[in-house]
Amino acid sequence: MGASISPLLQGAYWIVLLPFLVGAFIILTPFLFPKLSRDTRGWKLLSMALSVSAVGWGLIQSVFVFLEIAKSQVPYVADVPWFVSGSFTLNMGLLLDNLTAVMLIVVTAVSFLVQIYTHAYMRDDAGYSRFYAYLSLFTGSMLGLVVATNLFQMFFFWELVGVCSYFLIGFWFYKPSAAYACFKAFVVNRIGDFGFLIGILLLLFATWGFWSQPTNLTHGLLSFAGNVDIYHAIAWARSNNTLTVGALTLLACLMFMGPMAKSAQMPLHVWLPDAMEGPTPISALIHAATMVAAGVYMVARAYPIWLNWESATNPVTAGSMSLAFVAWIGGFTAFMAATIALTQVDIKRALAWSTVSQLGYMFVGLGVGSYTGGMFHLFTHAFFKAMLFLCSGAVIHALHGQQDMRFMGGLNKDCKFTHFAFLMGCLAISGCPFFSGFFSKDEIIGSSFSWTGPGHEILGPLMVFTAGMTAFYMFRMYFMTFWNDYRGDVHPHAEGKLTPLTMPLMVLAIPSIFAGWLGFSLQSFQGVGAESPFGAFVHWPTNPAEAANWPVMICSVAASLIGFALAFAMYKTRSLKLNEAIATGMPWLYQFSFNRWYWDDLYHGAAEFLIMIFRGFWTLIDSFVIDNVVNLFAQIAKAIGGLLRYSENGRGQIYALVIFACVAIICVVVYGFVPGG
Amino acid sequence: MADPSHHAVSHEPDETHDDHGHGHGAHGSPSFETIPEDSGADGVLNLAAWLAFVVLLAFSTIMFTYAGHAAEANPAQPAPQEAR
Repeated sequence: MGASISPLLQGAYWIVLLPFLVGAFIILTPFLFPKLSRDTRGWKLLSMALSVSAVGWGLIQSVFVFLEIAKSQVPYVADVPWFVSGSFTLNMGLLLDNLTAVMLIVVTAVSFLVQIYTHAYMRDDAGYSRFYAYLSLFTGSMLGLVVATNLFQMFFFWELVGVCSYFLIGFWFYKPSAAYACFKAFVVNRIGDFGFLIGILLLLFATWGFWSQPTNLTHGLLSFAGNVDIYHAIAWARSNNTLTVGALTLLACLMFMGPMAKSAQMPLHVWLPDAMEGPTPISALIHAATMVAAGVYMVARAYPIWLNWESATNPVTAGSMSLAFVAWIGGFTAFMAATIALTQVDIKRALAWSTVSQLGYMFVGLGVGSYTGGMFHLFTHAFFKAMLFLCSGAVIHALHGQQDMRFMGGLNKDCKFTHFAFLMGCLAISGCPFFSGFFSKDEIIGSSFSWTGPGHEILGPLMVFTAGMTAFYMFRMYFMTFWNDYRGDVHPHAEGKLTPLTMPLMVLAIPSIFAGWLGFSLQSFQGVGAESPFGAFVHWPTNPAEAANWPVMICSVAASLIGFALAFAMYKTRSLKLNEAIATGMPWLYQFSFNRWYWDDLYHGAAEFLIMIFRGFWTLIDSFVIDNVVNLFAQIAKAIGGLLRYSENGRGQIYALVIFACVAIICVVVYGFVPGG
Repeated sequence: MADPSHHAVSHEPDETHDDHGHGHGAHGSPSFETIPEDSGADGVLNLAAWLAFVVLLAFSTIMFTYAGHAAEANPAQPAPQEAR
């Protein structure tokens, strides 16, 4: 490539590096110059300006990177050795291809808008600068993950985003609930990352023969780049029988534990709703749009691991048990989270459950072989979910911290910008025709119907049913928040003009409405297999170009319409009392949903049970082993003392006898039986 | 618990909802300065948000412009018609 490489691509590392530098600067400066920087207005504005500028520059540069990649259609790789020990070579660098270029735009755009919003949301907070430092560090980490050239680099940045998430969930660490939530997120993610790391190492061992050839180490171990990537490594391992299909399935499922935790999939989903203890901009950026999608991105980036490798030369998505695992974990999570979102009353937590559900859709897309569908839903969801969370923050701001939807209502008059954006977000996520979520979700649902994996008869209808529930719970939130009478007791703060709090909502509303058209293909809608603009850029080579499945599309839209109509009748006109009938007639069903399927109680119960078993075991050890050992030594000492007491009786003759006996014994021992001999 | 979604709002204190929201840690810090809305930053940030819109528009335009080129360079396997 050499001289023909654009300087725009060569300088792309600044996209990742700048936010890191800014984050480090904001954190370190108060230590170096405490008088200049601590808690002054100028320092805060400087922190914000640097942080926003860094990601703004990244956004602009990302578009130029996308332009270069779109023109050349040649991936750009630049990496340097990171850790070298013999043939164990880990690299770190940049991999810029179509998938990366799209992800760079998503991450920088959402981060940029969220950082603008943060200024308005956090202006009264003492930790304003610290918040911007964390935001910059997170953005740098996420971008490092996106451009990773190999699985080890990805894991490194994967952990960094996890640490940033921990800091940001616990941003208000003096609140016990926030401290608990960040601890919970950390522990649950470690469980997933343990499986992820084991999977990576198993893959490395199984393909070691491939990597032990120096020519294959151009981009380091477990690379994603060129002809020395994990695809060719697995092909080599399959051809040389160092990796069976069963073993590959096992390691793929182990690796999937990472995405299960990071992207909040059952049974490691429990941390995400609690993560809403963090400030709302964080909920929008990290826990809705970007970091939680990292699991989906990882599966897409390392897609060869999940393929069916029965044929070592022609891996396919069909028949892959690990992809079926991905699809079913995603499918069940999407359904479960939607049923929970139906009854939640905290606006942010309800949105968090909807995020869990939509992430499930993305995994269904990847699992059923719709690589483009899964990634396209990630793309559209990032915009409309970030916007919905920012809307919830604007509502919370207007209501002086109130998050409970039971104390809201009628805010369409006071919060007109937020109302408009929230409505657009609801239409997008519900799959309203021609809004962004319609195109992406329809692609996934259509593919789930044409899937032939285990349980394929159920997965498609389940996804349609979940789409109906999605429309219901989103419009339930919308009507509870923005319509009918206001039920709170503090006067809402009215939105006058566009401010940094509402301007990002308006900007995000535009992709929420129109971004779906990037996934539209007229030919596809006419029944001919054809690729959309987005599909032309992001697809797995063996993915078929899908034609629109009209019956499924109609069913999906009908389900959404039914969901909307039920929400309208129950929460807007209140002419239908189905919610009350269920809550009173089948309280167990309502409680089951309201208490989140009792997952937290199950985990608490399991932990308590394990602790009880552990405690019982050690009680037995303590009572029967440790106590008896201690008593044994006491008995031995007592017995020896009992014997010795006969010699310690105060009679001089006995002492003389003992001295004489001891001298005799010493003589015998030292000189033998014959003194002087 | 009956569905409280739109009626009979309970005002009982709830430890999970008592102190949410933004900026609650700010107050009480003696050396802390808030940022007023007239600092000039708000106007600049509003313009920056519009910049993001322009950039996203540019991205979409590039994607539409080069989609055919990308499809030629990375052809996807066409699906069999009988599968429709």
